[in-house]
Amino acid sequence: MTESTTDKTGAPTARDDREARLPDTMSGWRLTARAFMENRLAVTGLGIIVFFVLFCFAGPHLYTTDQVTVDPVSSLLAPGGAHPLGTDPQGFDVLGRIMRGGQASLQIGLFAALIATGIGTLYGTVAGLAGGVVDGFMMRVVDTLLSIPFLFIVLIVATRFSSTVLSLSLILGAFSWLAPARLVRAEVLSLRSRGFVAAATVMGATKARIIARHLIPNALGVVIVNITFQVADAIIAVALLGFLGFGLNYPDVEWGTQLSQGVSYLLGGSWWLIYPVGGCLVLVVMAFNFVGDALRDSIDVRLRRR
Amino acid sequence: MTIFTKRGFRRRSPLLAVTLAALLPLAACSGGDTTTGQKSGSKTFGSLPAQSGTPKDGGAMDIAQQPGAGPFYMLPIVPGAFNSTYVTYQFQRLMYRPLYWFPEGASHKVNEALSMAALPEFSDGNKTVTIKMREGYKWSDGNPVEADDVVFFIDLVKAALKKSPSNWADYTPGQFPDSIAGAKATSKSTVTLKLKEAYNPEWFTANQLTSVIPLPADQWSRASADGPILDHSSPKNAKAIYTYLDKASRDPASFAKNPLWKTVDGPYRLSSFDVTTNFYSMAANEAYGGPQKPHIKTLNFRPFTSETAKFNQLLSGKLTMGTVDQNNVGQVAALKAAGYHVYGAPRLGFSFIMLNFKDTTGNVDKLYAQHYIRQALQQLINQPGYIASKGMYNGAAVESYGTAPATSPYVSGNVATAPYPYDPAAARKLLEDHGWKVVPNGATTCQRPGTGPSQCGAGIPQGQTLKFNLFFRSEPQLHSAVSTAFASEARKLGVTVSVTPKTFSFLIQNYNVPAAPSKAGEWAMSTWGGFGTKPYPTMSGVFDTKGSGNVGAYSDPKTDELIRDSVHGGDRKAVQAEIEHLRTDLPVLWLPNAHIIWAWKDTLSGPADAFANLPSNVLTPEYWYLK
Repeated sequence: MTESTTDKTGAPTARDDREARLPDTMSGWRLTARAFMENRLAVTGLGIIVFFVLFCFAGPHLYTTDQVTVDPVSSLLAPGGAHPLGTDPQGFDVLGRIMRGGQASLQIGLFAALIATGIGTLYGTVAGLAGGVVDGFMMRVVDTLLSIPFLFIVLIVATRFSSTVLSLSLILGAFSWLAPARLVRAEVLSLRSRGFVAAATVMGATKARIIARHLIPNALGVVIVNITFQVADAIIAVALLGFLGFGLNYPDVEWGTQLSQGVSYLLGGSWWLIYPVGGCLVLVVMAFNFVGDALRDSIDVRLRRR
Repeated sequence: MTIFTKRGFRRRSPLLAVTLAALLPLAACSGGDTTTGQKSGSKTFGSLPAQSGTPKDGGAMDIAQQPGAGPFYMLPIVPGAFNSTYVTYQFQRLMYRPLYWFPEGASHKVNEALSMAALPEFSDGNKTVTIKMREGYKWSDGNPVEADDVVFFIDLVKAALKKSPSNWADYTPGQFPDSIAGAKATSKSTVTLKLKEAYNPEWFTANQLTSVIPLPADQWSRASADGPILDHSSPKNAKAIYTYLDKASRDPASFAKNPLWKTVDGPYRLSSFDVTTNFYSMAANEAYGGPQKPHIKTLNFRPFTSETAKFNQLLSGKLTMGTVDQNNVGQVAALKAAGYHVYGAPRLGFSFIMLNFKDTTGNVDKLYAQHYIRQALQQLINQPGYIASKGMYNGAAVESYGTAPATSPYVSGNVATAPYPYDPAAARKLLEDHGWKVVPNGATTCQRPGTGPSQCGAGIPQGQTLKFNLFFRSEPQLHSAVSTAFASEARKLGVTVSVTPKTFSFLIQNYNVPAAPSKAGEWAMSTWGGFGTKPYPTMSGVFDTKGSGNVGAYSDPKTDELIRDSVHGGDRKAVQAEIEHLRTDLPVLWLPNAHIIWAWKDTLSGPADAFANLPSNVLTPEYWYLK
């Protein structure tokens, strides 16, 4: 884990003096990268993520389909030459539909993760640094919110508001920041007793400056690891919402809605509505978890090279 | 009219994903048969099996409830916000019989054999109605169902409506009970109604008296659980009684426990109701005095969250009876192989996309006021294509363009003929001829505001776009497919239709204009299935300006006049003229009339008529028996 390299308050610099005296030694980030690349599952996961990003965002330019005009006559066609993965009940080409649905799922996953991590990091840092009664109160708020079933709240909100990529991202993000808040708070509790924080305080640094320049940068490893898991969680959560009928609406679509629709026609033998999109969902979520696990192992020096 | 009709994700995420995406397809193991043998658009789906086996008493059967449509109101004076056939026909009618029953099997008429009174006698120029109760019907406490129980119902309805017109879904101002100058029990078995004006006897019997449900005056005429029996003829007392009963009716947790609801005159009584799952069961009423005492002792009504879950239970043989939605029509052969009879027919009613003429958001009300816009929207609906599509009706529906089914004895035969057939090019021309600049896949805008024949119409400003939101019932999937297809066609003309799913209960409780006028600005279109109609197919109460069931607040002077003729005249041609006018005036956008398909185990039998009424969502389980 690295610390910031410059500090206008005059607090000790982030670079460890020992590292400075040993120019041949690799930096923390390089060690992290090397450890990450040595993890085969992580590389596989990263490859899957890159593949799906290209598949969903570049794919539609190479494999062009009409995902807007309903074609009742061509509904539920089995996989074949014109439609490699068949068509859905509206006559949409399923392969093209998975690409379009993947765009929304990945966007929502990423946006929601960023929102959740952003809120959680700030909240956890403030709580950890403030300590005492403020910390206790803020953490009890988190405990209380954690006791409310996440899906229950999200469903109530989703019922009242129309579903768009932005609204679903906001909803999921707004109710997923509790775990990162706890993680970051724990990290800050250990950091705040470190010498460089004490030095910055003595030098007159404000709390905002300590948070922005010392605590958050040093908790970044935890935050980055958490983002990857949050993306996976958000993709699953939006799939659940879509599956329950609260996902995106025509002409937009995400994988959960596709699965939900497919299930209705499953007993008619339309397997192509379920397996391809279900496989994509599993692969992407699994890939993000592989990457998250590897990042955690790589960033934490105690876990590195295990 | 009745409406039918996180935490902790981190390590579990892959498991959840696998569960969601991989385990569900296991259900597909049942095979992929897609042959139905059903001719696209056939009048019925399959045929009724002949009665078989020897009737015997006893046993229990499991009936599937419709997803998201549990019954949450007990008193048979149902407010609009709770009204559906799942509440009235499939729940209350089993416990509280109407004075006059309909249908008679598949026939759209009053069923004399199942009615609690002989057909009414009209006299005094059709201003006096004499109703003679049949002997034999009695309450479960042994007391006979008497004329005063009919008067009690009328008094309670009056009290309910005085509190709010939305308290009774069957109410239309000026009609029953406003039309009653006096209701009197002239003997224990005779009720005499004095009407304020003359009405068409056929309409009054089939559409007004079928809404009358005798209630146990001797037990329910009280204002609290332990209060004294009150004189219900006093409006003040009637109000207090209604308030008490209405409150008890809104508490499903006490449905099976409250002594009030133990007094029934139908073939069954409620024995349990689980508010957590909406599962409820009914036990045979041994004291039932109708023509057929129930054979089966227990009816279990099982709730489901989706059509797929319900169909899975049917396939596994765990349900005795349930509906089959259009998505699963391809699996009917598998169902038959699993030992079920399958039969369906168009409901006695009609299906539609409801238009909200009171939605002022974005000038939607001004747009709907223009007939050419409604016509253009109707021309975007491809009924034959929808019916043929495997992803939609899968052949299990008939074309329908009117308020009465083609099987009704009152229709002229035009209801299956499209007044404005699917023709997007004609729709485009229609808009352009009225001053709209059509931008396919963009935003069509009004270019020539004004009220002239080639202008957009009154209240429509220059630059006005054609934007509507459409709420559709989330289950079954058919509604999603139909709504999306319509939105797609509209988009091609630059008309934006934003589609959003809602549960059935949410739709009728929140977006029924007469029952929830404060939400009139929240929706422009909705579709949830359709309306089941009374035997005499006038749309009185449904499409007349003051109709309590006028969900979309449609208002047209000519329609009001034709409905008045149907209601007051004695000529059947009057109702035909009304049907024909509504067919072309488009109070709603017509959709195919889907076959309501039911499956029941071949171990269940009974007279054919006791199953022929299933597509109307009407249950007569007292005639069924387990072989």
